[in-house]
Amino acid sequence: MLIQNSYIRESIFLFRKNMSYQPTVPIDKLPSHFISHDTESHKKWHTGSVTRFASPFVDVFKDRIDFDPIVMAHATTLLGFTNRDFYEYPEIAVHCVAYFNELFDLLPVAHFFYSNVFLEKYGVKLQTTNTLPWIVVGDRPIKNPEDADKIQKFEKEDLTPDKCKTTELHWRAFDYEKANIPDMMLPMHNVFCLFSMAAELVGPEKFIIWTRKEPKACHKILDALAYTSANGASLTADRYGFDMMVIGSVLANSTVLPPKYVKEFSFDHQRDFVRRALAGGGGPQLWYHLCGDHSRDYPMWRDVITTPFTVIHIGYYGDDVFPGDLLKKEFGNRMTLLTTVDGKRMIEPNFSFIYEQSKSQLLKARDSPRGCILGTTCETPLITNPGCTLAAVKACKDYGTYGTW
Amino acid sequence: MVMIDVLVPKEIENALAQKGISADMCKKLVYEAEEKKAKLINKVTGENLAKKIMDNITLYVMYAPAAPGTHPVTAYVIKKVYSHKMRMKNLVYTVPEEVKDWWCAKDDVQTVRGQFDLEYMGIVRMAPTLTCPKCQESYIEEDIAAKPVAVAEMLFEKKRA
Repeated sequence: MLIQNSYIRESIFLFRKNMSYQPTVPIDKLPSHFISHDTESHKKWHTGSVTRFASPFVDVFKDRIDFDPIVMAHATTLLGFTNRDFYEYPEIAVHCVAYFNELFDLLPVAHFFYSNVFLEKYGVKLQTTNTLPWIVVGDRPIKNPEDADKIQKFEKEDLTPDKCKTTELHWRAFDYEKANIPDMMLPMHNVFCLFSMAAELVGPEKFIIWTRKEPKACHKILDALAYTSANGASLTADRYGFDMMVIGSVLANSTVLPPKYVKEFSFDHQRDFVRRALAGGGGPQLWYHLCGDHSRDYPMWRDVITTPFTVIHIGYYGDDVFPGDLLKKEFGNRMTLLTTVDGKRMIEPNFSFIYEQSKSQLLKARDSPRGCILGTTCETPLITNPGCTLAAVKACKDYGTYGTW
Repeated sequence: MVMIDVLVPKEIENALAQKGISADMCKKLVYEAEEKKAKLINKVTGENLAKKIMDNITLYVMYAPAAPGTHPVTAYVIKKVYSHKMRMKNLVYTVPEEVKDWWCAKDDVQTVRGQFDLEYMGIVRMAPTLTCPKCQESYIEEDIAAKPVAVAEMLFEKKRA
């Protein structure tokens, strides 16, 4: 009996393991579940939203500052789909983000991206769960510094969708947008954080130790990732004409590394990446996403490579949100600001807190010379309270006007 | 004037014509750049990059010796022309990052990466440049002029229309 039960359990386990995840709604039926963008009400909302979205970049101000909660799988879960729908079916991801944005009067674009891009090309195994994005599971491919000598730099032809899961997922999202919601299409290239990606290849703790003990190996890995990622950006730009590039310094922050190391292992490699990617046709919009605590390293980020459409987004100063007035003082004359409300508080049923913090940040940064957007410190959590999203939008309506009045 | 020939290939002449610029104007730009050493030199490829601010645009001309390796150079051939409408306003900062191949001809130093404020229709935004750390003369590279700067110009025109 015991053997039989064990056999049954093992069979069920193997069946579940081999069974691929099925989307909540079949992809061919997906467009019919959403309201068409041909409706007059959508067109009216979209026209206004586009003008508002463009306003910080062209100095023509609309009604109010935008709120960008950096919504990802929260859009799918809030709308009755799942976390795995978002990451494994990017078609569902973009349609849900588009609908979510209209629902809360946010940005006029849909988007799809995730953190651990291109790592599968380096032999990493990635999987999603019911609550997590693509995470690394199993062995790390770079076990010792000598392995770093052998790390590959991938060319564009190595990164086509048939050879690269990252490209396949992103292009499925953009192709779906083009076919079904073209007015909200946004080709993107998410570089994420080169330092975090390198750390995933080695193992985060080990890689952080290597920055002190094996810096040459770290630079080899970072060089390769910057090269590969720049080619990825170029490939997507070749297909869609452009791609907004999100560049992050997430694990490379002031809590984990001294500023000197943030510069050497994150900032310098990002500059290298950005210049390569622009030369390959990436951009023109650049979005610097500095998640985590940047209280000691923020001054260096004033010297990033910028295009006329560059946004700077810094999450935290220590444990607090990065102050909007400091962001304006340091970056306001150089790029568009994304001042933040605390993302981890977005799950609480404390709408007043989000409203007051949004108000405070907006009053500090709203008159920044090159425009301002309100956002969350990082991706809005999966279980974000929709009341908090509404609270931040309300604060934008009440205090997100431009000027110093 | 330096006595050199400047050869303008037909396709370059057509590209210039689209911008409303004559081949003679382009030649004059090269003569002036050679005379005043107001140019960047790529020490790997032997190419030169010169620019001229005109009424509505800044014109860039990339040119190289017609017969590479011969000295003195008696003829140059134009390789590329490109332009932008945004006006270069002021150098905001430079990063002492080597732009290995491009040197300032006047100061004989390697260029560094600069960030320049550009202005168009009253809107000021930054773009990266090749900059001489000594004289601070700055040049926008072709890919930057062709995409981020061109898109900005188009968007500013549309929004301000």
